[in-house]
Amino acid sequence: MNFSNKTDKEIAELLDQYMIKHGPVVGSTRKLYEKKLHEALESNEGKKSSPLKTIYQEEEEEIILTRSALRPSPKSELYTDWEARTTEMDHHSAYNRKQYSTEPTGHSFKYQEVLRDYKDESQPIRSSSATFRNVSHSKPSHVTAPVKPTTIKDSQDKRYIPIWLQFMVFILFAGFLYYVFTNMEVTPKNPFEHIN
Amino acid sequence: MSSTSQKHKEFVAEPMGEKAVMALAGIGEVLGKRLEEKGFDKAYVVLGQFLVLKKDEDFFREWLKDTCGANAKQQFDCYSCLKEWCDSFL
Repeated sequence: MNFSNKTDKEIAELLDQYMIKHGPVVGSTRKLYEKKLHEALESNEGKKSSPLKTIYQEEEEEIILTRSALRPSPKSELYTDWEARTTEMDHHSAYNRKQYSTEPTGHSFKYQEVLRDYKDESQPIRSSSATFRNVSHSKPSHVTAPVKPTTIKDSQDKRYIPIWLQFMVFILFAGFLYYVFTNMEVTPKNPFEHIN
Repeated sequence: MSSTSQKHKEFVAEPMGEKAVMALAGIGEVLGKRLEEKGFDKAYVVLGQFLVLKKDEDFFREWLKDTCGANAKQQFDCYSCLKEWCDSFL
């Protein structure tokens, strides 16, 4: 959309429409405001994607927003969000894929916590150790999440190390430690031996 | 440790009068030349632009970037210099 044939007043009105607060549209500011309008238009067009995608993105944004407000938010709100999604979860074999997060690491911990609170079914709560491990690496970036919903989808589908593998490695490591521990037999020596 | 440069301190210490645009913090020879070519040949003209953008940081920094190619640090230095000057003298 070309803004150069619009009057300064029309540019100002357009800026108001897009809720961009601005100063007077004069010769030196015109170009900048036109650029802002272009950006606003493009970001609006980006939101109008296919219906399925939109729903998915909206859900992601919803989850991320509820996650960011996890601490102070009322339980009932989370519960209804979670309930709405349980029907979808039945269709998915891999539960871990439905963890909407920018980083599958830090976020999965909180999501697991919600799970434990609200559902006592036989949902496998996977890799509890992994989640604890991952918490230390979590970074607060939920602010940027709603801006780029498509990148979230990309990153969460690829788990570089599958969760079962992480769990198995942990079990093996724990087993190894246990084996070493049990084999360290301490021969009780009397520390007060008389030295001849 | 001071976070503002000597140039910044000197600029905000007194009314800018007819100071050149290169007196602004963040604006050196290269950027100053580019601004002068665009017609912003005095510091007060850049001040004018700053005020017309309603002293908004984002707008001013973007304008500076588009006009003379200032990087983030230069943008910030110039913005904070002008802002402080305005707080004192405007």
